[in-house]
Amino acid sequence: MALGLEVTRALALFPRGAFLQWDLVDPQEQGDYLFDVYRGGSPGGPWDLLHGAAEGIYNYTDRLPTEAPSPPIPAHALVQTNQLQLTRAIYYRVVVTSPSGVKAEAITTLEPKLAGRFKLLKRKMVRDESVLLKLNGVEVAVLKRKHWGPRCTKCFDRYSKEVVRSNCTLCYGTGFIGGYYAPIATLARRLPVPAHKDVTQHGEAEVKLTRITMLDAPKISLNDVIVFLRDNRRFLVKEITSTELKTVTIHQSAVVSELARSAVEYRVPVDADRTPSLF
Amino acid sequence: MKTSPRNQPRMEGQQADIAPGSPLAVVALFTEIVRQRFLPSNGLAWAWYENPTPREHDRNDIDAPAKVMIEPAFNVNTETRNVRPAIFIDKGETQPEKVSLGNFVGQKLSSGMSAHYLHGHMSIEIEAVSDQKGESAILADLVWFYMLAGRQHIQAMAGLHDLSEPVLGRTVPYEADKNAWSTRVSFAITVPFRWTTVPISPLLQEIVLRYRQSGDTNPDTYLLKQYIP
Repeated sequence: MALGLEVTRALALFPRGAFLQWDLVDPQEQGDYLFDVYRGGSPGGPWDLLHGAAEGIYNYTDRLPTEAPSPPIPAHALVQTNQLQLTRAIYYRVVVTSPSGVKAEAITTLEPKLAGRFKLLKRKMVRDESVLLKLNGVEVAVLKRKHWGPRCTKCFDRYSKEVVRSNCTLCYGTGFIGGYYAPIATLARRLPVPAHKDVTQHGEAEVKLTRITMLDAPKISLNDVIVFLRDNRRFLVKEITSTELKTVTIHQSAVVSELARSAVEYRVPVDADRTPSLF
Repeated sequence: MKTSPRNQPRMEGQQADIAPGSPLAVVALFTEIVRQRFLPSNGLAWAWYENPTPREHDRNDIDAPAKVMIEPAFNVNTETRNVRPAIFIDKGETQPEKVSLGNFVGQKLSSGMSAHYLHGHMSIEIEAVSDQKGESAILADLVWFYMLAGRQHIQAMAGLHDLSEPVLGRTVPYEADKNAWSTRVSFAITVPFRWTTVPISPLLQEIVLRYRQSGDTNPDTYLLKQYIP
């Protein structure tokens, strides 16, 4: 069995911290194992290195930065990682390098870990759902919205803290450069629902709210965008309900709203040929 | 842009049944006035085009104008749905106001024709909507100051008796396919209405009297003689 890494504890220390603890799975070499700890807003990265090449440490406490950033980025142009939203998911990636250079990694979000038969029970429930999704689910790309990082240099006003262009293609209306993290491929099931049309003072408005079901990862947050790759229809996450086993997410259900065809979210590049590769 | 009839609140080329000062004429007039402000040649960060579909090469950033849709409110014929940013123009109630007793301004004694005049007050609502609060506020501010600065010219061009100083409202959220924002610019216009009434009974009596005096026995022949002596 190859070298593995398992995160055994990932606890949020609200409002500005996290505690991680991990263990090696089947280590077969003698000597010092080196660990790198990264933090990111999406399981697909990009990652910020928090602690590099640490010898023999098996836990890490992340103190989310509270001090002003150093030049060249001024304080007003950068939002630091924070836990100030109920559904915000922060991801950690721990990479281990064995004395001979073999690498293994684990990616986790801040959520309790199950042990013993509950761990097995979770595995079964997730497996059952994934079998179901293979039968009636479709390929989706999850666009995790950015909540920290450099502010948009084109359309963000530093004083009023307002985005002044809804169709900015630098931040896609999020106020952060890039707007969304790299798309994450997974499977989801979308319920068929009727589209509602109302005549409003803004002309005919169409609203289509539906419900999607997906596995426990990636953790979706409010205002993330779900791209259904088969028909390239994009949905905004409006409500999230998780099925939980002892506070651990088994699968996620979300109420999503289909975005207007002219919405800037349709301009976020998602390559349906390569994302996901299973398509 | 031209009005038709000249200096009256109705756009040139409007459908023939739309009368000057009527709701559709007033809404069309102000829609066109706001569109003029957002013509691409004006160099603003937003530009109005007839087709609201985003262009492939449209980067929609500060260096390239973003498309803004400008339409009458409650319009169901645009074939667009949930397009933002957009500006919608609407008209409220028409409230007549007397400026003379019985709206009476004169009479032609020979025919009994009387002339009337009154002022019709109408509220105009212009709403700037966007996915972003900041954008909604800026668009509304552009419209507000444009209406404020140009009110005398608009008044003269459209033959309005008055155009009040516009009010720039709060930017408030509303729920659509996603959270959106709306800022309202409102003002009132006063349109002069004129009309005449001619009592038909004295006219008919006069015709009957002349017909009897003529001695003709066929009224058609009598009437034809009035035009073909």
